[in-house]
Amino acid sequence: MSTAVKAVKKRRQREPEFDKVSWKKDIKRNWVLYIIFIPAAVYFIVFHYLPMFGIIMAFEDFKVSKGFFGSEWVGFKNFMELFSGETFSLVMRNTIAMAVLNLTIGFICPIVLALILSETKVVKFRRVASVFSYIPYFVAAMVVAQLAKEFLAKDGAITLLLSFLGLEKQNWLANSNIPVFWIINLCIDIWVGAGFGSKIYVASISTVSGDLHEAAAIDGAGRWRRLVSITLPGILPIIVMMFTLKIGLVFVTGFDKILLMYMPTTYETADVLSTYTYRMAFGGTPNYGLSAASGLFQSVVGTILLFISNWLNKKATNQSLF
Amino acid sequence: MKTKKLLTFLISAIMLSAFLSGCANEQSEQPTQTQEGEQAQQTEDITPKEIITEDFSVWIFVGEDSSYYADYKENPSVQYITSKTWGTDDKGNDVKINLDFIVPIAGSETDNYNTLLATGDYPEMMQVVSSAPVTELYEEGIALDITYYIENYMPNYMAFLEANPHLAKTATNAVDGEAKYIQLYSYHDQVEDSWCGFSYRRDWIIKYGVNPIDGSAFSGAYALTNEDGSANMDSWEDNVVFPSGGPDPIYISDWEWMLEIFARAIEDQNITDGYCMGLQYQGYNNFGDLVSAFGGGGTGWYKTPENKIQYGYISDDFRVYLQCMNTWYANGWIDTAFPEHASDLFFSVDEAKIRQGKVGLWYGMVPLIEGRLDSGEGLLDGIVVFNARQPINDIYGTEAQQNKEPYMMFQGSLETTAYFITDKAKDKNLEALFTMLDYMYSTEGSVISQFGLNKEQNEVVNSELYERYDLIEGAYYEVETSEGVKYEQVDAVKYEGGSLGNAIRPGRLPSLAANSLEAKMNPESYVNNIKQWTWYLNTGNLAASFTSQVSSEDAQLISKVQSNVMEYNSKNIPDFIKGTKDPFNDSDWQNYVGAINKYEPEVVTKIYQDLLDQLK
Repeated sequence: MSTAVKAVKKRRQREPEFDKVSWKKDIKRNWVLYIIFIPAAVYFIVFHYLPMFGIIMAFEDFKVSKGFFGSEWVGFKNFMELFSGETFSLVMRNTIAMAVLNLTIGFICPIVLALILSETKVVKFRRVASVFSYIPYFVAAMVVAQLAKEFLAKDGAITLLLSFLGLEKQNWLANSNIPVFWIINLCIDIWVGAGFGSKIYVASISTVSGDLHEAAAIDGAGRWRRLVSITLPGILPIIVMMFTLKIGLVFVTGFDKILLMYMPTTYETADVLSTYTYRMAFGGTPNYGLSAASGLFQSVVGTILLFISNWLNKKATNQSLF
Repeated sequence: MKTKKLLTFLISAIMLSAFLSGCANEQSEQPTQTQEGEQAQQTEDITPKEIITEDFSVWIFVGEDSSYYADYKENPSVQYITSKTWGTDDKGNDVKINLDFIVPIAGSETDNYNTLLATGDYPEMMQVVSSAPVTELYEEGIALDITYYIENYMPNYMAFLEANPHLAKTATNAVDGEAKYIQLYSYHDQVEDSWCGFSYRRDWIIKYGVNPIDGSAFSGAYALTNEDGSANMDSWEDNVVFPSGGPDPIYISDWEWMLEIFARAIEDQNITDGYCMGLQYQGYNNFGDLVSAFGGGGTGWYKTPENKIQYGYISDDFRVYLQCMNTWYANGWIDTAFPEHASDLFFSVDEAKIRQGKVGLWYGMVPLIEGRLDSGEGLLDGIVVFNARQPINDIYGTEAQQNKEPYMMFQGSLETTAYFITDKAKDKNLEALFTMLDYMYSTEGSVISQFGLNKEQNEVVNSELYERYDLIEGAYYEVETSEGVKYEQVDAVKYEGGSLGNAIRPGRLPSLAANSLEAKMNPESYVNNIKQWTWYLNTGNLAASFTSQVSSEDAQLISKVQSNVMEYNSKNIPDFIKGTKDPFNDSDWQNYVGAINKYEPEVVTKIYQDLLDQLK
């Protein structure tokens, strides 16, 4: 149990009225905080909560000219159309496969990078490596996709490197065998996100008390032992928080990159829920209902996963996001 | 402490007000042009018989290159048109029209169009986008019935339609049980020169081919020189003869003869990553190019010369096309990576290799023809590119697919874009607006639409663009021809290299472009090359004015069938060409036809056929 939680419990025992402060009193006491909160609240309401009204499109045969209130209400028809699509099962398989890879290997990489960076004693090297590792995060998806196309083309640099290792010289992005595209997508995700993702772990590692390391070192613990027994447990709450956050978005992220990299010959292994919906919805006349249904489906699945992950984390590590 | 709290309060208040001000409608803070117009009108009330301005905002799908101007309002021709008066108001004042253009950000055109319509924040005039059929917009009260204005204030437009009854049939829409004008179409008075089509390496034919009749070698050179002594890259002349006996490829057998030569050239020059012929990624051109060689028609729904609607994808003609492509692929003539070019534009597939001189035959554009690619170095040394017309099949399939002239391909038609007037304009001076729009269909307006402004017209507006590009003497000049006076753009426009020609024309407004008045003063070789791309006319295509006649429900159904078929084909057609599936095998073909028929394209065929029969 953390020190803060213990303190709150103690205060509750000491001051029974602690939890019973009315809104009125609280606003009076902390009015400055409430004023500071107003812009953020307005922002979230205007840009995040009000647009949620658009969810209604998922249950309508939405027509631009008729708007939200004039379009015909069709219930779950859009969802039925989404789920009954010919390649829906393949698309779900690809989505889940890429999500699992991202949640395992893709999630671990920033932590490993952070641990390596924090263990590096040469400060200059650490700083340079840190900067270079997070620069790809700021490269636009379009550029990332183009770079991938260039490097993985038949005469691309990575292809040539792989051919030296005995692999066939080919355009790897046109290879529809499992799990070629999944691995390419994972590698790109790691390249783009690992450096930036590691920053929060590096910051977290720096908060782990040096006294603990010193005491462990005096007791004969080596670097590996200290890493496993002190650093990792020290940043565990952050790891849990990041994992929980990531799992909620795992079905959504990567859409633009995949859309830019896949091609009809690789639909079978590269098509994910978001790209599949994009083609179904915008292949001809825009089908906003279907698009909204897919978006809602992804959000609902993401939210369920978020709660499950939070619950599992609480059970397993006694740490949770909420 | 109190000061700190006060400071915090102030900062928060500033942040909130700044945030909220960002959400405010700018128009509410500043007088709009309409309000200014109203103010002006009030002033006119005191002093009648003056000029008042009526404001209209126009949504256009795309503007012009920002290197010319940022606001389409700065288009010299638009400036000229809006500088004139167009009738009077009910007080007898002369009326000028002021146009404000709304141009969406590139890439989000349809989104912007839909958002404007869905939020009700749309302007008075809009270009039609297929995402919201105009018939549907009319039913919802957004698009106005403009029949009265067209019939009474657009005599030039009506005269053009009367002279072209086939266009007049689809210029109206069946709404409220009768034919009404709810769209205003832009037209060309003649099919304009195409800017893209098939091109091939003429120099490879000269170097690696021999006369198929007498076995003699070919030779060629540029016939004209420029003032500086350099060769005129538009004047190539040679003695090339194709197996069909003429200087241009006409039949599929001519193409095969050509492809064999290209294969030899690629081998001789040791081009390891080149190929004889490029192909669009799904294995065919959606517009019907080359597919049309095998029976005349195209891919999706098209109209036969007998006025029958056909669905190309499951026709025997398309099967024969696939058999030909399968054979060519097996011969090693087609780019093996063609299915990988999914993100390339149809007119610039794998353009890097073309520009490197590694491709024999491709679908190209004007800037690549004749000697334009000749850099004098490496594979590009001495390159000469000629255009090829659509071929005619004389080898594959049966009589039904042989010796039929193509009638479907990418080609400009007489009809271009359409516009509609929204209910936001119903209280405005539409008489003046339509009078102005009709000017664009007059002879003078058509010339402006095609060539821009002449010297006198430019003097009215003193265009900055004309000054910048030294067009003070006008954008075109007159030429006496056997067919009477025609016009030719000045070299500064013709050879500018960008899109100056578009930037000086009012091409984003409804108009009739006078293509027939273009003198075409280029060298004979260039003219002949351009002519190849419009050798056959695209009569099979279902024009937008025709497809826009269907109900919104039918439009949605058609779109769905089309999307499903395209999705299926994008994966399966490359298999037929690459040989994974065999187009010569009946079982493979029937399986394909069965899969396509699942999407019920015949329902759409019937919708279009009924519509076509109604319009007869």
